[in-house]
Order: sequence, then C-alpha cells, then structure tokens
Amino acid sequence: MLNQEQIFSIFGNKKLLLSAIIISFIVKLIGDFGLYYYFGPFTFDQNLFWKFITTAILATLILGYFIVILKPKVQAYDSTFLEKFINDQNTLLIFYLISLGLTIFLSNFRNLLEDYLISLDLISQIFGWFYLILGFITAWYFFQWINVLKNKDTNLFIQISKIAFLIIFLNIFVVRLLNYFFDFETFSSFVNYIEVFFFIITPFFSFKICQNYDWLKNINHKQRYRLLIVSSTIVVIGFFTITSDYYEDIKASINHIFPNLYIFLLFVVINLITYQLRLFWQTLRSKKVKISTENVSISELERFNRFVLDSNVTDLSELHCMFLESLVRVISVDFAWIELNLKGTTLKCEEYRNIEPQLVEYFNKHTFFRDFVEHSNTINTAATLEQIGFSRKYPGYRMSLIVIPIYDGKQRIGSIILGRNKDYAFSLDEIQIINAFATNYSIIIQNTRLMQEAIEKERYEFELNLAKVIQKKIIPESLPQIENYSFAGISIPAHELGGDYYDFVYLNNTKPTLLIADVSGKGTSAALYMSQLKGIIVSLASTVDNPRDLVIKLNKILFNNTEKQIFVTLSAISIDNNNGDFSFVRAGHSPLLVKNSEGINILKPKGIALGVVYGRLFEDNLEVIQFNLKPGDFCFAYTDGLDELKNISGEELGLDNISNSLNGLNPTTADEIIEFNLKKIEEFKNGEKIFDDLTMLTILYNHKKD
Amino acid sequence: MEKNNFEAIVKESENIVSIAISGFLDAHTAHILEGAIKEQIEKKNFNIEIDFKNLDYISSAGFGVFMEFIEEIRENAGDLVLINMNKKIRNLFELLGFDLLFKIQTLEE
Repeated sequence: MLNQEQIFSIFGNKKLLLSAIIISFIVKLIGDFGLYYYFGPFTFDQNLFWKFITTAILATLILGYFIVILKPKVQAYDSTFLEKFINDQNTLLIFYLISLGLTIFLSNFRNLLEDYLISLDLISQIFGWFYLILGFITAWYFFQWINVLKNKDTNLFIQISKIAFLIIFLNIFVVRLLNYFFDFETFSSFVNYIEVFFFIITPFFSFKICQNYDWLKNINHKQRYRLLIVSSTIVVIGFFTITSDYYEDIKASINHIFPNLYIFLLFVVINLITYQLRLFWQTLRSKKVKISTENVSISELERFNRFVLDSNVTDLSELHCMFLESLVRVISVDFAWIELNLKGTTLKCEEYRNIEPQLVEYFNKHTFFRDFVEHSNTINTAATLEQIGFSRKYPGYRMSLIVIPIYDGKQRIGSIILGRNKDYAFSLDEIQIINAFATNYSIIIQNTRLMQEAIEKERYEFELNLAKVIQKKIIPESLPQIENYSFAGISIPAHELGGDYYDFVYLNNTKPTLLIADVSGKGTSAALYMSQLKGIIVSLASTVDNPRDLVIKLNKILFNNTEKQIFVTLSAISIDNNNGDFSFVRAGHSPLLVKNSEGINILKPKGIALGVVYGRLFEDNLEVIQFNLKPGDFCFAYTDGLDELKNISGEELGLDNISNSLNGLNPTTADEIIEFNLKKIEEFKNGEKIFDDLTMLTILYNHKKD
Repeated sequence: MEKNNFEAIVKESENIVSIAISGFLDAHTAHILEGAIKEQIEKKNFNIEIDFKNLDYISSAGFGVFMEFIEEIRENAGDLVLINMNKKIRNLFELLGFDLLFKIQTLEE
C-alpha cells in the first residue's frame, strides 16, 4: 500500500487530494449523465469500460485520502488506547446511524425521487459511495485496533482477512469482468465457492479476537457502559441493515458504482457484527473479577500503619522497604523495586518473581524507561512497552508498569516501580488501591520525617550545648595573674559557635604570650578549626622561644592541614621582660593599638595570614615589632568583628573611632578597658544584633616602682 | 548582612576572562564567585581578571575564594588579577598580607 509520503509526493497535500476526489467524482457523474442522455438507459456491460476506469481512479483517491487523514490519528493511539478506542466506537456508531437514516430515506422516497429526477440510478450512486466509504472506514478502524493489540489471534485474523479481501476484489474486478467477455463459468463458480468459504470462516476469527483483550479489565464503570451500549447498538443496526428489505436498496446503489461491489461492504459489516458481539459479551463479563481485593487491601493498609506506629521506625529506608512488602502482598507483581533520588543510597528491597532480574535491569537502563520513571508527578501507568516508548519490534517482551512517586512534603524523594510481564496487566481497581496506598504512605513519610526532625533537633541542641561548653574551655575563663601586668579578654560569638579565639601561653615554658586569632568563615566549621588551632598552639608553645617562630611553625602546620580557602589571622604578643618590653607579630590580623602618654600608636607590622603560603614568602614578610609600655600604658588587640561592627544605618564603627575613644582612657585594670569598650559597642549598635564574632584582648602595664 | 545581594558577571574575551563582582561577598555568597571561577578553570581559561569596582563588602569567606584557586591558576601559567579595587578593600588585602600574593590594581579616584 502507498504510504503517506508517497501519496503526498503524488498529490502535494491533503487539500489537493480532496479536490482531485471531488473533481473526478463530478467528472464521473457528468460522464454517467452524458452517456445516459445520449444513449438512453443501457446495460452495465455496454459502458463497462467507463465504469471501470472511473471507479478505479476514485477508489484509489479515496483510499489514499483515508490513509493520509487516518494514519497520524492511529499512530497517536498507543498511549491512551482505551479512551481512543471508545471514541472510535462512537464515531463508527454515528456513521452507521447516518447510513441507516439514508437507507430508510432512500427506500421510502424512491417514488417521489423518481418523479422529479431524471435518473435515480445517478442519485443512488451517491448513496452507494457513502456506503462504500463506510466500509473503508470500518475496515480501517478494525485493522488499527487489532494492530495496536497484537497477539496470536489478531495476527491470524489479519492474515485471513487479507486473503478474503484479495479473493473478493479478484472476484469483483477480474473474474466477473472476464466473465462478460469469455466463458468463465467454471472458474467463476470456483472463485465464488472460495469466497463463500471465507465469508463463513472469517466471522469466527473476528469473533475470537477480543477474547485476549486484557485492557478490558482496566475499564471503569462509565467506560464499561459506553462500550456496552455502543457495541450492542452497532450489532443491532448492522444486523438490521443486512437482513431488512432496505438491504436490496443498498445493494442496488452500490452496484450502480460497480457490479457486485456490495460484497466488500457485506464482508466488512458481518465481521464487524461478530467482533462487536464478542466485545459486548467480553465487556459484560469483565466486571466480575476481584471484589475481595478492597477488603484485603484495607486490612493490609491498617496492618502497615499500625506496624509503623508500634515499631517507631525512624529510618526512612527501612520504612520504604516495609511499604513495598505490604504493597506486593495486596497487588501481586512479577517485579518491584524502590529507588531513591539520594545519591549513594542503595535500597536492597526488590522483588523478582516470574522474571529474570537481568531482563528488568536491561530495560531499566534504557532512556525511555528512565524518562518514564522520573518524569511523572503522580502515579504513572504504562500498559505496554510501547507506551513507554520502546518500539514494537522490541524483543517481544510484554510489560505493564506502575510508577509511584514517593514524596516527602513537596519534595520528590524517590519512586516505587511495580511491574507485570504482561500487557494491560493492571486493572483500574488495582491502580486505585495502589493510589490509596501511596497517599497513605506519603502521610506516613511526612510524620516520620517530622518525628525524625524533632529527635534530631533535640540531639542537635544537646550537641550544641556541649560544643558551647567545650568552646568555653578553649577560651580561658580568666587570664592568669602576673605581677605588674593586668590582662583581660572577651570573645562574643555572633552565632552559637564562633571562630574567634584568644589565649595565654608560655613560650618555651617561660615567656608569657597572649594570642588572638580569627578563623575565616563562620559558624561550625570555623569553630572546629578554632579548636584544632588551640591544640596546635598548646603543643607548639613549649618548642619555641619567640612569637615569630611560633607563628612560622603554626603556619606550616595550618598550611598542610587546612583547605585552601580557610585561613587564620593571628597576633601574638610576648612579654620579653619585666620592664614593659614586648614583641609583637601579626599574621594578617587587625593591628595592635598601643596607648602611651603620647596617644595611640597603631602597630601594623608586615605579615601574611596563616595557612595560605609557606616558606620564604611567608617568613620574609613576617615582621616583628618591639614596643615598650610605661606604667599605666596599655595595648589593645581585637578581631575584625569590632571595627566592622555596624549600627542600624549601616555605618561601621571603624578603627578611628576605637582609637579615639581609647585615647581618653586612663584605666587602672585591664578589665576596665574591656568594660569601657563593651559599653561603647552597646551604645553604637543600639540593640542591633552582631553579625561577626567579636573578640577583644588587652594588656595593661601597671608596674609600681616601690 | 541583611542585603546579601551579590552578583558576578562574567565576560569572556579572547585572552582574558573578566568577572565583575558587585554587592556583598561573604559566607553566603562566596559560592557564587566560586562557581564562576571554577567554570572558567574547567574551560581552561586561566587568565582571569576580577573587577572589584562595585563590590561593597568582602568577608573572610570571600577572601577564601581567591585563595582557593590562585595556586591552580598559576600552575597553569595563568593569573588572577584583581582590578579596580577601592581603597577600603585594598586596605583589607594589605592587612591580611594578601597584597603580596595577588596582582592588585587600585581604582584611581
């Protein structure tokens, strides 16, 4: 047969094809009329040649047109066969009702028409064409339905009816034609017998083909009633037409087109009747299955829910597996598994019953399959492999699939896949039960998640408190008392855990040294690095005798042990002797403010932050500044949380502000300096929250010469 | 940092990729710049220029982004040049000693 492309290449497009049909039809009618007008009514064999040519051309064109308009319609069938099938049935019914109407009209008004029109033959020919088209449509739908639901019976039916059509057309167009010219009686009657034979056997096959219609189990009430009504009506109309008196009129009107062409229509209609009869019967029977499933499923659902409540399961993956087990107890499957979107989570709950796992695995790897599983927001079903996208020529396996997405709240966390190795294997009832299970299950997941979160929150709060306690231990609660010096320090974390740090250590077990540091980043990660830092400093302190060496060693360790993007700024101030001499190194940290009688000095020796570079680059750029404090002088170190502190209008506190206010201060203890600053901070931020950890450390030299 | 609107606009030309950053570069937004630079490195573009002209704020996490990539970029005979840096941010770089690690071009005013 011609395919769409070939037809298009001949006729250009659909419109052209349609106009060709109309034109040739008009030509044919005019020709018929002309012949009639000039030669009067004459017998068929007298204008045989004309009839044959015009009918052949028209039939080809019409057939082509149907292929063009129907083929895309049929190709779209696969995904929603059930609905489309019922719609096709309706269309067919409408055609048959129209034809019945026409037939009644034709028979009852015959006399009336004969009075007014020159030739009834010509008019009834138009009706004949309609019947013929009806035959085409019927055959077409028929073949397509069968084609979609390929099985052994349908294949046999297609083969047999192909032969039957061949015989019928041979008989109509060749044998009987030849019979006009030659003596062909014997051969002709032989062909007739064969034709009759096929007329008898094909209805049996068409009766048998819907026996295997698994999809009939999937229909709902409404679809069922529609099918019952439509199929029974078609049967009645079809039967009525071929047995009533009208049949003669129909036969006559088709025969005006071409003698004996009605046999084709008769053949199609008989097969349609038997097919619809079986369909009716099959639909009627289809509802008797599985009434008990609902009861079973409800008790299973209850059992599952109670089990979840009693067992207090908080591990979701365990829950998923339990759910699958419950589900397959109610809905028997050939294979089933759960997959989660979370990478690295593999769930070992799979069921393989009547199928090789490798086979399922094979399909599962395919893009069509993956798309089908992943791109559905609600329960998704496929009745055949073709519906998933696999070509029909595929290995010949059959598969029905159900994908149930698992949601946690609004987020899709995975899918459950159920399958049977049969086409149209899941009934609508079963899908509804699965749906109920899935809805119930999503509620359970949400509850479990909430419970899990509550437990985790408690645990988190507990751990946070623990961390706070540990951190308090890291930062000294009070600094040691050394004669002639007064130390004070405070660290205020912006969040629960901070990345700031200060400490007091003895270098080489003798040299008192104060340290202040700030780990880059925020929150938990900074706090973790900070506690690591503390450990390293404590163990290094006894091995070095000056702050510069401490910082160099510290840098090397941090460089090797931290991520590239993490760095630490640190200042170390060592007390060199009891005369107020200090050594100060700064590794990228905020400057040190030194207050003496002349005012505030801002000390900012060269130095790169820790953990970023090592070797010469770091060491060559690490300066040491020595400074001296007289009694009453003090130095003040801080982290950037102080100078970058912002007030409500977004202004920063700034270094100038800090040094200006310190300038007027004449403290007697280091604590005074801290308290003064805390007050300043409170004034400045005026109730606003702080966004960065803030640490201050100060040394007051108050040597009293006695 | 209530306004953490940060943007990194990448402009690729033949020899150099220019990434203009604006807004607040802090712990919440550092990943945006991180992603932008990573993408260029994956494309084997190792000559990268960061335009600081419209940057309002940079936190330690922000500095970390430059630290993360500088080594790899230099190993591949490229460089990360920081241009149009205003005085205030330049001071922060100096404070951390990072001016010794990067080629920095200060904004002329």
